Amino acid sequence: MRVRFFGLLADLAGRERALDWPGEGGTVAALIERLGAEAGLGAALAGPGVRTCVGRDFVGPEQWLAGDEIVEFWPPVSGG
Amino acid sequence: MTELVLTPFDEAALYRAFVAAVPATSGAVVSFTGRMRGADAEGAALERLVLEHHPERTAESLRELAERTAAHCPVDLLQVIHRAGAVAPGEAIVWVAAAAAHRRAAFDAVDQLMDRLKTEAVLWKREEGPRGRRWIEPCAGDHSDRARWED
Repeated sequence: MRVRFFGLLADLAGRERALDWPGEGGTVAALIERLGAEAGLGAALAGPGVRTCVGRDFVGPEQWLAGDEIVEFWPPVSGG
Repeated sequence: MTELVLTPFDEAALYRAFVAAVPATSGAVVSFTGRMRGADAEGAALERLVLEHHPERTAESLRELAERTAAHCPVDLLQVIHRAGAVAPGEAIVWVAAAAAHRRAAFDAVDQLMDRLKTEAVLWKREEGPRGRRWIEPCAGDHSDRARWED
């Protein structure tokens, strides 16, 4: 699975990470838990306004991830 | 027309090109330039503003926000140019222009599009200066400005 980070999250995690994802899949919540444990990102990903984006959709913690998605974590956006 | 650019742009040239395209039915032209202030909210000097963008979604968001604004304001022309990447003090960050039959629609379109951009454009902004780097999010005032307009 490819996971991309933007803004403040990219400072903490790098812009992109490749993760081995279980063949049976798992939820966004499980991905966040894993990123918390492996990369110390738990607090940052739980921060106010952080959204999870898969494809063109914002998804919730129960979204199922098969592993072939690109999952993005967006802090709150801030235009010009 | 909307455009995301990674290098400085010439706002005077943009204005000339815009007014050249304004139809004769437009009685009003309004433009706005947002420029990089060389100081943060506390007045401390800044060296640059960095606008991180998304490879696909940032340009799309500019188009969507311009389309939504045009759906609410009867404009003949509406244009936005937005910088991404590192912006130096004094450089333009964003340029918005509207042409409409009457002035209120042109003022409202520029005002509304800027309020939408400040809260919804897919950009992540950080200030960099002698005191370090700091990520910026829309403030309460930006959200209340945005709330003046319908979705």
